Amino acid sequence: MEFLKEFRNPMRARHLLDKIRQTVTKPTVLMEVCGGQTHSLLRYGIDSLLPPHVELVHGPGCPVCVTPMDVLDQAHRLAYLPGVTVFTYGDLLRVPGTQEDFLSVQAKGGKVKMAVSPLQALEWAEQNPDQIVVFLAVGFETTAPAHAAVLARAIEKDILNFALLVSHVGVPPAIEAILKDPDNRIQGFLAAGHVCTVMGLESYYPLVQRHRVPIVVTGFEPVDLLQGILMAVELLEKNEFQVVNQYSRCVNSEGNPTARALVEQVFEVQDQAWRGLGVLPKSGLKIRAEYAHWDAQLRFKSELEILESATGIKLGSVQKAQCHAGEVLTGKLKPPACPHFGKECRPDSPLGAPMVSTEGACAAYFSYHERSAL
Amino acid sequence: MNWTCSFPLDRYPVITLAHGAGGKLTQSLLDQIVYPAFANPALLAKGDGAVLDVGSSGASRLVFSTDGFVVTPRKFPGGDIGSLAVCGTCNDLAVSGAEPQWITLAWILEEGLPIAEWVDVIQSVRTYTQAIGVQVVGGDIKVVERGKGDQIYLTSSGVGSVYRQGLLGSSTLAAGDAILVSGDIGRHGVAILCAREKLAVQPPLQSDCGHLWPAMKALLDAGIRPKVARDLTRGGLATCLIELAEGFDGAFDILQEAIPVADEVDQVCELLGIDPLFSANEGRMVLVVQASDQVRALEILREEGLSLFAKKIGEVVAVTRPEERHAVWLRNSFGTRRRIWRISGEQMPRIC
Repeated sequence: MEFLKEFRNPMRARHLLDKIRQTVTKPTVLMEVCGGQTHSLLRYGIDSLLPPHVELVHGPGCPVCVTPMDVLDQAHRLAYLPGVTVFTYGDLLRVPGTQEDFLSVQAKGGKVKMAVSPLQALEWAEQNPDQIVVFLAVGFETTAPAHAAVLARAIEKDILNFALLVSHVGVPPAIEAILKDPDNRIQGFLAAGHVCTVMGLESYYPLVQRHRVPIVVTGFEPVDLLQGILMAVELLEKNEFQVVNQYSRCVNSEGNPTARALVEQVFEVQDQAWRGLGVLPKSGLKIRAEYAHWDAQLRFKSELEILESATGIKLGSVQKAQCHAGEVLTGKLKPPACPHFGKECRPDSPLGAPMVSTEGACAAYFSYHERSAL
Repeated sequence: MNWTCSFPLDRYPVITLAHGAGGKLTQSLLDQIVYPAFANPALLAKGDGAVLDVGSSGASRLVFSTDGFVVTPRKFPGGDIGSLAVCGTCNDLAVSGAEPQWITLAWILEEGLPIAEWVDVIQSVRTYTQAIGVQVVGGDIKVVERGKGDQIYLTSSGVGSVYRQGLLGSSTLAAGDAILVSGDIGRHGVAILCAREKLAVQPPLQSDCGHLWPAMKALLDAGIRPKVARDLTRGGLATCLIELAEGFDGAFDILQEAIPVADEVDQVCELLGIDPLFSANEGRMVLVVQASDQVRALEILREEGLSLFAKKIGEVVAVTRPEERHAVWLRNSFGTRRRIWRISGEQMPRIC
């Protein structure tokens, strides 16, 4: 089976659309959690093909978008420190912090390098012992095992010129926060498929029981999304509330216990600030105390405090008041309805992360605006 | 003619600042490497400028193009900075309807560069210039201090004479014209990304670095005059179509499924979150021909291995509303279409 072509097959897609049309009888509001799913929906114009009863609301599953501003600011400032080189995923290079983005930092002499994999940062640290490498480790449960593996390797090999600047979040607490909102309209969720390759289905059962919503673990190709939507619609029409797995070619119910064990070895759960959602309890990760040497926020605490008092600008303090990231990330505002969309806020001059990240909903609407069914 | 490098590499293995000073050491690079590699009368006259006999080509119009090359890594699967510099400039001439005839090469070399590695690039330039008979008629060598350059920066400038009557021009674009692409797209950008980030794709993804002149010449020889043609480089097919459409009051209608993308390019793009439509190419062109020429044009492109995967990807269309002027529409078999827009900056690999 060719996973790309089979799950982009137009005949299959049309068949699923027909079934959705035949099944849905009432207004249905679903949230697709992951930014990659949002992009796929818009890129293929699936939102314009769905029957009017079915509305898709875009969720907070964009790791760049939910990274708090003060973490970005810390990373930017560390890049200016003598003897420090910051490695980051490419997706974060253009995200604006309080004063600037990584590309500006680099142009002004800060040491910034792009990594496709965190292993590249660790290897570079081994080859350049005169530099302390700080890797900006962001993401959901999908990327946590890779960061844990790199940290474990640094600890095992005693690579001391390496640290992680961690901003990790988990999906279920975000879904909980959305469902607890008194204005919530979401009736069902398409859960992020790749998160579930690590976590399995376990953490969604309590949500389904407490809030009586269907949660469908869904992939990213157009046929995946349509199949996930159909499964959610079928459950809602029957008033059945379950966790079901559409993405079974990649996800099994246990997930990846080895990956989770690795994460637990070096990280522990903590309350976490999310950009746009505030602090959610037990929704993030921090490095365990015994590995504090590799925790950049502890290691560079005094340097960052000195920089803050020298510049007089508190980290994360200058919020782009105009950026409505919080409302976009919780599905309360569709990007085109934002007063700044396409005007002051564009990919080359973003007010916030959702307009510049490859998984940001605003970036998706901007890239794919002017799309329609033929 | 065979060429062997007679430069005493074992005694002088690296480039030093003295090699850029214009004195004996510079001359030794020219005498023992450059002149033997590219021997031709204009170059060997060793004047400050190359005196070129334009009259012998019979052309009344020339095309002149220049490009700078800073690629990292310098050598990658399917090419190196030398082949890029030759193909890049010659392809700009070819898609302008000109036969590439003469190029110059301005080198900025970093102190400490192993000369043997520079000789490898010279060899690559020699191979690619000889492939289509273009002559290296001049150049320059400068050397910068260690740390002030990325080993080799190269600028190539080229001149060619318009072949037969060349292209018809963008003012002739009309609804119904066929939009063709000469082969599978997006290769070079992804090959470079894999090489730069040391992503161990097996087998390694090859760049599409190559000449477009043979294919363009075959079309012109057959009496097919493309209306416009563009060499797909940075920004990929999508950016090229957007630029073409900006110079035209109609629109382009492209079928997504018709765009040829090799499976391995598609798969690596999927892994990294890169869109092949915006990924760079270095040996592909898009061309617009009148509808009556499209079948024959594709036959010619596919013959003799010139462009095996050449395809028609869309058509020029008229617009009914002014805001649709210059649009590039991408239709898909799902029954939707979307307008393609420029992206800002480079594509970045996706996090997850």
